[in-house]
Amino acid sequence: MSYSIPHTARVTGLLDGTHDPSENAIAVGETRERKTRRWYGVTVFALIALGLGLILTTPSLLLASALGLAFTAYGRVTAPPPSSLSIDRTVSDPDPEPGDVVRITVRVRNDASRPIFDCRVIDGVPSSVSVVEGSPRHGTVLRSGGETEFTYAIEATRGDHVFDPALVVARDASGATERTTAVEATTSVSCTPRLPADPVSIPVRSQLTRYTGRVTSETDGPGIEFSAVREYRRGDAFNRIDWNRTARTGELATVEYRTERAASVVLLVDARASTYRSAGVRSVSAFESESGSDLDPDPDPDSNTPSGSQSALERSVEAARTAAASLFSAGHGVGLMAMSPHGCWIPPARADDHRVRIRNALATHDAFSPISPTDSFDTQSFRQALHKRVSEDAQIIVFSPLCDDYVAQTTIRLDARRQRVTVISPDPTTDDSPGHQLARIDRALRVTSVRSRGIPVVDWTHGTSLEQAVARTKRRWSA
Amino acid sequence: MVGVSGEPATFDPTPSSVGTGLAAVAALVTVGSLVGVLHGAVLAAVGAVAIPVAVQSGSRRAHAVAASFLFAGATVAGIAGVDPVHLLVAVASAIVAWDAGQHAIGVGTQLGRAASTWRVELAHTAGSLAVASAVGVVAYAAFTGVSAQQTIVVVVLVLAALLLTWLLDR
Repeated sequence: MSYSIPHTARVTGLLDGTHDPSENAIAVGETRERKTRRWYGVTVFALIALGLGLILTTPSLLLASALGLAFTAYGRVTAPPPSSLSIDRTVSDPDPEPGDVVRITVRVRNDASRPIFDCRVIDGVPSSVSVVEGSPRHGTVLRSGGETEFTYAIEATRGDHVFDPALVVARDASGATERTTAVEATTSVSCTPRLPADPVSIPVRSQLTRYTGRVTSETDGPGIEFSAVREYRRGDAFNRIDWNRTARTGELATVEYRTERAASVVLLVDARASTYRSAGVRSVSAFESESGSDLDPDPDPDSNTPSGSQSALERSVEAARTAAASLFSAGHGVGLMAMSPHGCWIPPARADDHRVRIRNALATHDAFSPISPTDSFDTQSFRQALHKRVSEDAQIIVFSPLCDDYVAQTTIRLDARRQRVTVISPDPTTDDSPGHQLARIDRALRVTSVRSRGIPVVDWTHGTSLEQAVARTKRRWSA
Repeated sequence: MVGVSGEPATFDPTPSSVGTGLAAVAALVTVGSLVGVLHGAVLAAVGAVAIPVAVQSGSRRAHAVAASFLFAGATVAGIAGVDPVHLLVAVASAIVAWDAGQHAIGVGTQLGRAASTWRVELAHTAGSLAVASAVGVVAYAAFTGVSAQQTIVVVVLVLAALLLTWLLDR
């Protein structure tokens, strides 16, 4: 349940901005050598001075030329820098809560027998977190066996963050030869948010399992809430006989209560690439999301960073975490499924270790990774898997921004199969441009069409709490 | 510029003030040593003004143009017959200004302004300065040892240096 460690450090644009990025990928252990040609300008001056000195027979110009040529030779005779280094990272808190500031201390040691006059280190910060303090880059001089240390801070976000290898660029004293290498140092920061201790109660619909729980069912039997009094039948338990009535009328009567049963709930989180957008910075437009990933095959990683407003997926996951906590505390079975190219399926259960499983999956499963998926999502096979996995007596809570018709249709189809569905929909739309306004209206219509089938939709607008949104929906359904 | 994932989008590739300062000081030394020849000093002064601006802009080309004014000033002064010691100091400091500026721009694009880079920049420029001083002293000693009539000997020596350079390039 973690990302695979990348084999290459990204050095895009490091050597020369025009290069193909794949050419600049350096494998761990590989060393790339480059002549910087940085003394060519001085050589040109030396040759011009030499020429002029000869033509005008000015000896002092020849003197100046000799100085320039000496620097050309300086660039040639300096030995290439050693590139055997080791790197060691210390993390102040390897298991932080989201939003915590984690300090990373990087120690670089020169293992070679010669000094490195010019050592530049670029640490492999995971692309899923952002640096909030200091710089993950450092330049220094390292004598043989010498060590240097630098510190920066990142802000923890949900997920397993595995550090990339650090990139080291070493130059000789003259700077004529540059050696680039990637140095591995296995470090990871795992941020697994806890399920909320006192969650908002998420309503469950009246489709129940045969297990005892906290949802009052339609059927009568043993329980707490009074339902009716009926004639005594042979076999009724003594403690359910209404003795007062028996004393009054002389006939045995039995009290019936409403039975309380548990529900089995599958949390279905929409984690397709389109849900990685956030309100405000780059909001979702219907046109973008309907044409799917081809318009935005490689979304700018900066737009996914948690600084700024949260993505729809992040809010969906937060809502799912609240729902899971609420359902577990009510004694229901909880399962988890992701609508994502990276399948995630945990069948509903009630055990304590299951709670941890759901918590970890919501935090670190690939399907909910902070980097949006690049693989295409197969809508047909997802529907088949959904129908196969989710049993008929389980109900489904769908977490989706409802930015395209697919989720709305899937929800309506599930409802048509008499599966009980609730939708919790974080609203990612804004109204800052006509296109965004149109997308907002489109989504509102979709919400209305789902609601018109009798499916409860919690429309969670940006800037309000989930609690408010749930309360509003409860009023709507009780009214 | 350099794209390392996970960093804020506000990566600032502006060269550090240490590197910029080193280049600017070296350029001023060039101007100072050329004061005896007016047009040479003026050309070098143009370069000295342009160098910090060019380094801060992060453009290697702008910096190369600015530094070429320093070299042009030194060459003009050399033609005008400035004292060889002053010329040597002017050329040496122009080379250091070129070197420190190029280095600062390189460090800026690779490490950014936020990183601590002063050690690298000071060490690199100190190395270049040491080479310039050593070569300058040796060259001047050789120069004074050879009389003006024996220019041909100097030419042969310079050609030998060229040949050596070319051979080392193999």
